[in-house]
Amino acid sequence: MKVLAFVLCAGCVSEPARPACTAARALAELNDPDNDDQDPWLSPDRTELVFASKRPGLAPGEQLWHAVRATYDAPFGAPAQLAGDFVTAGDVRGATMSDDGLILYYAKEPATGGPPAIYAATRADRTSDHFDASRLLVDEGDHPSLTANGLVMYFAAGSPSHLFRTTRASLDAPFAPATRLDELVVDEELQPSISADDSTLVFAQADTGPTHIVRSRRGAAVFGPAVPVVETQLPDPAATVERPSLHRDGVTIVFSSDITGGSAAEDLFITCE
Amino acid sequence: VQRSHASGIWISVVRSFDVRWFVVSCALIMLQRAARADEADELVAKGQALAEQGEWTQAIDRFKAADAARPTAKHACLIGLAYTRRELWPQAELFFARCRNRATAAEPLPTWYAGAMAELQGKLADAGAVAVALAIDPPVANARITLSSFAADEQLEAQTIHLAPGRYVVIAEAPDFQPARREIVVVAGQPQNVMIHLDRRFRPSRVPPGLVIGGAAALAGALAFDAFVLQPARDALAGTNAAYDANLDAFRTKRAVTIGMFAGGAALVLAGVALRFTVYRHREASIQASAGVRDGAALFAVEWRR
Repeated sequence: MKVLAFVLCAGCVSEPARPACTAARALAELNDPDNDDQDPWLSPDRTELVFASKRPGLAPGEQLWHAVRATYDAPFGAPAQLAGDFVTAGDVRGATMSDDGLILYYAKEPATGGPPAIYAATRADRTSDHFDASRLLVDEGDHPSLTANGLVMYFAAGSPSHLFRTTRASLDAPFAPATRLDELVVDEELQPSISADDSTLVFAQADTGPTHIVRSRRGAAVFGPAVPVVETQLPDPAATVERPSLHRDGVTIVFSSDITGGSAAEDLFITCE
Repeated sequence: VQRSHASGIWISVVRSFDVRWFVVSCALIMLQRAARADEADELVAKGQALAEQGEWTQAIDRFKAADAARPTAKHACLIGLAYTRRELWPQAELFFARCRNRATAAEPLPTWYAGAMAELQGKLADAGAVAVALAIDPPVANARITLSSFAADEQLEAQTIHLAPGRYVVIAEAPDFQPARREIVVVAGQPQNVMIHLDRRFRPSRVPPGLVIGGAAALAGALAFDAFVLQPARDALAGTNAAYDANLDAFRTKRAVTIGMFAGGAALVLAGVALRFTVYRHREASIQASAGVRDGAALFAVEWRR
């Protein structure tokens, strides 16, 4: 009886496991019925979501927008466009931010066309929607994703697209020449998103079927085989599911899909929230 | 002006009330004392009447009752005199000594005291009584000694008395000390000093029960905290990963508090129990050992209390 009481007591103070994943759902309050919304990124505290959208804004083409909410479980407010020196001709996408929300990493295509480059811009505080002082990080790259310490960056580049990894010694230092993740090459790999601790990589994979999201875990030196992330699968197997962003909790994923029945060609979704 | 006038009236009322109350109280006390004096005198008269009839034991009881009502040199001397008639010389010596100590100019020794003492000295010598010096270590004020050959109400201070040869049990008692008991053998012609050691009475420390009670309170608090604070925080982790992440720090903090309270309470209880059976254990079990040789007989005694 005493042992049982002890076990019960230990059970009552133990830390419960994470809840099971909830099904993917559309972020209906953010999706524009007339324009594509994609490349979502959710802040660590879940109160700010940045995404790329072709909705009318300060500049033509795809630009960055964000929406905020008071608490993690409240609905997002109306999206507002992120302003800054990057709001010029040429699509902007693949946004991600530092954990403190002050540095914006993004990819921008030149107005004259050609492959996108990766930049970083800053803002004074989290309440501001104005980023400035953009500086070039990588000449050719798309959809950057950084670890929590900001010293390791993954991105996609090339055509067909493959994944690359680069590092830097400090936040002020330039990134070293990137290395392609050959162990993950299948056909085409897109839009990587790395976990906070550089252990898990989520990305979109295009092969024989529609683009889908896969996950690979990093071993001692290289990543292991990528496996489909079932939590991001939608009822329509023909739908494209892509542009994932792994939340800092390592579980929640925001992504976009062109599933039939959505409000536009591409809509924002969240799973395991 | 009205206020000071009213205050003056009140003070005068209080003063007059106090004076009257004081006078009444003094009168009651004096009446009580007079009643005790009357009672004591009445008891003395009854004792003397009984003594004239040769009922010494009953006479002694009356004299003792009178002495209890009003301790005087006269009462002690009457008791001592009655004991001489019963030929209980040590008791007579005790009360004559008490009579002598109480005597004052206002209440001098009875005229027959000297003669009675002389007779007593002679009788003690004839009986082969031996001087036994009773002492108590430590010399505690208010310590009282009881001898097995004396009546239970006849207690004496540390002093020298004369006892006839024989075995006696001496019991010493004092406030805040454990009673000490010692057997002595009085041998004719061998005066002796008897030292009785007193050990302080064990007072259970409040530390162990205090720790146990405090620990139990902490455990009860931990249970309440667990039920009303931690478990709701645990429930808040369920549902979504967002809820899990948002509430995890709060849960961990509350869990640390709960574990701390449980651990602290358990530690206090265990410390209390451990101290009770280790540090404070020996203070309760006082062990006394004594040894002696008398008339070729050896006596070794071990005494303990639980």
